[in-house]
Amino acid sequence: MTSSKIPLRYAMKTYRKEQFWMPPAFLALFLILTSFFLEDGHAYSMASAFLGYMLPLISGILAGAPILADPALELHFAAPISAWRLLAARYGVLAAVIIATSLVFQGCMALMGVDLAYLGNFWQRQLVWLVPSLTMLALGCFTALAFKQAASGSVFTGGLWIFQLTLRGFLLSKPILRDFVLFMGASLPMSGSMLVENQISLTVVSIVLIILSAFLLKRQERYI
Amino acid sequence: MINIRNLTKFYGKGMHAVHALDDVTLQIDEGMFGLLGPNGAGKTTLMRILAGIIQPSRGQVVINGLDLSDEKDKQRLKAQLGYLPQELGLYPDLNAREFIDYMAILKGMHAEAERRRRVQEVLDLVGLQENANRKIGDFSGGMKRRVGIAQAIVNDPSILIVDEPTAGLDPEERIRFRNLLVKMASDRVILLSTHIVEDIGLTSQKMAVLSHGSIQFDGSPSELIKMAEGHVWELTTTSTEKPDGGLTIVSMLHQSDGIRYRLVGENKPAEGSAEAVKPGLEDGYIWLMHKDTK
Repeated sequence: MTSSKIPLRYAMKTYRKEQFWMPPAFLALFLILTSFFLEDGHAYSMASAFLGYMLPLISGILAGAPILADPALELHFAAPISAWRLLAARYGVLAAVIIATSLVFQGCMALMGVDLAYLGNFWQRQLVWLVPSLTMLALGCFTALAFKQAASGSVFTGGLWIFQLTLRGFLLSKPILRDFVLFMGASLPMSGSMLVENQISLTVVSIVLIILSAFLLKRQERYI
Repeated sequence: MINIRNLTKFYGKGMHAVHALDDVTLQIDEGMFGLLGPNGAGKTTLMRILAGIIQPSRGQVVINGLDLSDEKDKQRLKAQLGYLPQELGLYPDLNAREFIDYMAILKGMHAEAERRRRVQEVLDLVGLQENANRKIGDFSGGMKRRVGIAQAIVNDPSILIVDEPTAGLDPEERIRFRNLLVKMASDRVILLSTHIVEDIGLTSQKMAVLSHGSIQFDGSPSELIKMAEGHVWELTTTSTEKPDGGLTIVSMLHQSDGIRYRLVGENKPAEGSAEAVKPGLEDGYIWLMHKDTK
């Protein structure tokens, strides 16, 4: 007997609605803010703030809820579905929402004539938001499961975001610490191998947190 | 068949460990099996262990030859299991048909035509055919319970576990629900957990009473009734004082000639007019609990 799959249409339909409106709401806000800076040529900094700072924060804030706020969690646990599949289905939807938000934003930037070359070529630009968003998503998921509370994920990732934002300069100046700075892609986009190291470190952290989350989720009785 | 041996479950560690189940041994054969016990007796913990959600601290559970301590067996069992939890969480934005279809997919029913046919069948069975396309968020408590039982039986489970299924239902819904369970019990194991004695008496051939995490009784409802023989009395009195002497009042009814008490206890009430009466299942249960507290 293999573990059951969750079809995309139901993964979407069983998702909490508030998780869908928050990313587009911030997207709309940043589109308006960016439009204010179009004439003085600083629109790119607002755009990179959205991609490199806001998207990771939104990912982290939303990451606590997909599993623990599921009203039918006990029924999922009684079904032949593995922890991995449940994680993939629930966080796949959140990841899709974040990816769609980013691509729509970048499309709007192109239409508004905002040049994002400051963040590198197309693929480098995607890594600027994708890597820290994945890290915050994994961290939010892990802390929510570890503390058995959806809000823990949001509080912990929000706190880390403020901490890193405040001490960004200090963290970037220290060789080991800068590998774990979430905003390096947006702060120092052309920093070459330093940025690559940072992105590899954050990706490794994300993978470790996702693996730990799956192990936590296997202990189903913690969550009912 | 469900075989439970020396099952123990405790929460916490060391001095602070709380025993939810203590050395429970039961054999449950095909048909309807009632699990009765007061709130906090450990019924839900036992149900969740049998549904493969909670890990026992000690002991063994084998269901239809599948050992729950083996992860592969547990996944196989979950595919042939129906489970209705005490606190049923549903998605308010899905309609009943979608929700049951979703649960069928989770249980491994991937052939779409067969699944659709089965979803329609269970919707008819629980009387939700006319509301199948309405959002669950608009449903009454009874209708939500019906969605719950429909999702539990959609995979035609060989083992059906229902935890406090009639709690919060109106009398008509409860009768309907009990009849549905009895109808399904002919070719599968149905484990009904409840604190409502009447539900067991009207449905189950075999039953167990769980209290403080231990099995206090394992047998048939008639055997439990028999245990209370000679320990049930009725007494009518005009006195405003309640009968004493270590007796448990099962019921009291105000009548024109005074108050009529139904009492369960070791000894006959001191009042002379008390007469021994034939016990019912509720009396048997109260007698068992009464002895347990002594």
